[in-house]
Amino acid sequence: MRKSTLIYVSGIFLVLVLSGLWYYGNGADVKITNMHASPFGAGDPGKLNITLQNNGLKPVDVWLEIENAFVDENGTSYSTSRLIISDNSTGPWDEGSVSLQKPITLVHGNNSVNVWLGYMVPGKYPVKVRVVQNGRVLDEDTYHVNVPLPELHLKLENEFERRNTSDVYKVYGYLINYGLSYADKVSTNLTVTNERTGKIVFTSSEFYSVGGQDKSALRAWPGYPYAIVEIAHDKPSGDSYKPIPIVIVGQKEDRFLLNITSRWQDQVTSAELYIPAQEEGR
Amino acid sequence: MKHMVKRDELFSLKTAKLLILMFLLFGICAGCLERDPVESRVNALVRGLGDEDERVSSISANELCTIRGPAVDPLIKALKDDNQQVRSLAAQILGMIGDKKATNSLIEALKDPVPEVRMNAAFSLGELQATEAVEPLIELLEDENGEVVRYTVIALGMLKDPRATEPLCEVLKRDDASKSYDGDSDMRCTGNSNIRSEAVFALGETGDPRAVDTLLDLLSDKEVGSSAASSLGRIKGEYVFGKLVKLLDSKNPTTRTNAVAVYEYIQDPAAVPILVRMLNDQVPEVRTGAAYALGHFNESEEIAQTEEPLINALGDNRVEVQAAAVGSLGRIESKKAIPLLAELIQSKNSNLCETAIHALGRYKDPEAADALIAALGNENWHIRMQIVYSLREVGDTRAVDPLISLLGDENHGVRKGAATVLGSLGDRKAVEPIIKALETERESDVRISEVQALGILGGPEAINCLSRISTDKDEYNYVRSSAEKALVILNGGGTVDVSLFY
Repeated sequence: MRKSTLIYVSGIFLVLVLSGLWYYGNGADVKITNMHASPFGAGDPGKLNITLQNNGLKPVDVWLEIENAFVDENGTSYSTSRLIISDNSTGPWDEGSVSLQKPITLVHGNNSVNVWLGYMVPGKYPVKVRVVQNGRVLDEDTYHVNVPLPELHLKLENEFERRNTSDVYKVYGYLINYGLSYADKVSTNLTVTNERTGKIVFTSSEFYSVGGQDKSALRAWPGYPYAIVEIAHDKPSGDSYKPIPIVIVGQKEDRFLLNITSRWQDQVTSAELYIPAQEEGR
Repeated sequence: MKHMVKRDELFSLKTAKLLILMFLLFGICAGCLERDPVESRVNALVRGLGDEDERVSSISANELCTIRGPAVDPLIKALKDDNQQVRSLAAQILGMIGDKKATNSLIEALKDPVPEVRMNAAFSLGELQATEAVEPLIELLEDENGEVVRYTVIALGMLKDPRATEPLCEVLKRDDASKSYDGDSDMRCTGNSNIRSEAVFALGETGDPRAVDTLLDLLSDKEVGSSAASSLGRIKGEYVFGKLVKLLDSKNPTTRTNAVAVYEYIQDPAAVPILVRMLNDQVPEVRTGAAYALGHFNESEEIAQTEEPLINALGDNRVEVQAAAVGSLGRIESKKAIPLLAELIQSKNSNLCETAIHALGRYKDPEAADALIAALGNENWHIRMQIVYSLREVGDTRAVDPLISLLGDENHGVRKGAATVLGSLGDRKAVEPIIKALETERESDVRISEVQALGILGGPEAINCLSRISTDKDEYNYVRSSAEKALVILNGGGTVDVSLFY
């Protein structure tokens, strides 16, 4: 091989080595130093706060790739590659503040970035975060998000009203959720038993939904009670009480037990109400 | 020795060449790697405009709109892209960004072979207020594609340039100008429209008196007559006055109806006696229009002429005429009419009844407030609710006590309205009753209004109650968060802005 050729080859090799060093040696030094998500429930948007430390002196543009950021009711996980949400966005589907294209610019030192999370079903989810620059992973870490179960409770109340010769009890029911997660399709059964005869006089079954730390009124129509119990001391009033679908009419000797039970997955909760109540003149 | 010299020379020459080569390569590499991040992002987004996935193209378009300035040049370049979707969206976004730099390129795009590109370019030129585009746009009125013509007409309307007046009048004569287009399909227009109706609207936008005769002729047109009336209303009144008055006597009822409607927009005092006379027209639509138009004459000498005839129109045999008269009496705040309007609240016709309530709400007069308060016992909950909201418009604090009673109304809509209006009226007398109502109120939407009212009225009792609600685990979530919001505002001090609660 001629010396001149050798010099050329060496030169090109040197260029390649130096270019490689320049390219890779100039890579950003970015680390994930902290990740934190405040508790949130299924069906609600949550935010994962990621602290990224840029050890370089110059600002650098990086992308975040998040695994398991969104999981639907079937357990399907959605990739949020390059999905970055600005601090002022109000929801995960607020397109105005969602960018599939923007990198995050990290200044020297610590930088805080929020990323939306969302899970339709309670459970534990490992959220893997990768910091990427020009296709290279600068750092990665996993944060375990715990989406708690709903905590369901039932409440029955009544309001008494005298109408001519009848005692009318307006019954109000509530499905209360002390937990953070939304509970959908909560099966709720009502059984009304006449204590005097021991016979079940009414049954119904409905589905209700309740948000996290919220309550739902059990009723068919807004502004109306869940049920009506009329105790007639003479002839029944004949009032249909429309549009209330649950109407029980009894005589003055009757006493009714309203038992309501809700089931959601493994959770069962119930409540009872006697009409008239025990202490009422019987 | 000679050989050594040669080798040295060779080495130094080759080394120099190599160093130069290395510098060049570094330069190229650095140039490539240090590309402006905004530029590369814009280029990626412009490519995204052509994506088959509508979500990607839509997000790309939104992003480019947000980037604005730096996106303009790449978008101008994209007007010549091979992909027609890229060209079309680029034309659209350039109008939204509003940089006039794009004008010439958009004018060129008016010749694009794809109708959608021409259409978007035309519309964008209108958005840019590019008056230099008027002539090319006028030429585009001859386009073979109806949608392109429609958008061009809209653009010319946006430009408000009188050069477009005559070409727009010509467009109105075309056979194909009545074809309807579903505006919902393109996001830029709503409702059905056709070239004629857009041309009529555009003529009104030009404000050119030369359009008056064409528009006056169109008042007899059943399809665009009412649009022509509206456009005439936007052209300066004095060009229209004399000719329009004559049309009030037209034998054609459509012409009379639409001519009357113009007086909703322009107030020619000379028309008042004629409009008053038209309250007796044989066609109910004309009487309705006249009654409605008379409500727009608010000078005292005009009211002196219109008040009695409008009161008489309350006895018309058609409800729509009565309702129009009711509305106009409210608009001119006729004191004489208050007892009559109060009576109409009891009307079995819900339209008339609601119009009377609304009309009384316009008065800033204790007598009107009394009339509304007296009607709060109406057995129809919907009427009660309307009255409650009208009392807010009147703003008379004498309504506070009756409204407090309505916190216990059997209908939750009325209770909600009462709470809302009590908050708006701002009398702290309502605080205690609202707190009491919250003890038994079961409806979440009523509770929210009560909480919001407490937040507006303020005071230590209100704050205590709101604090309790904000931490009550058995409370509705929205009620709890409304209480939290109210507390933040109240604890922040200063003036309470009612709008913060809604």
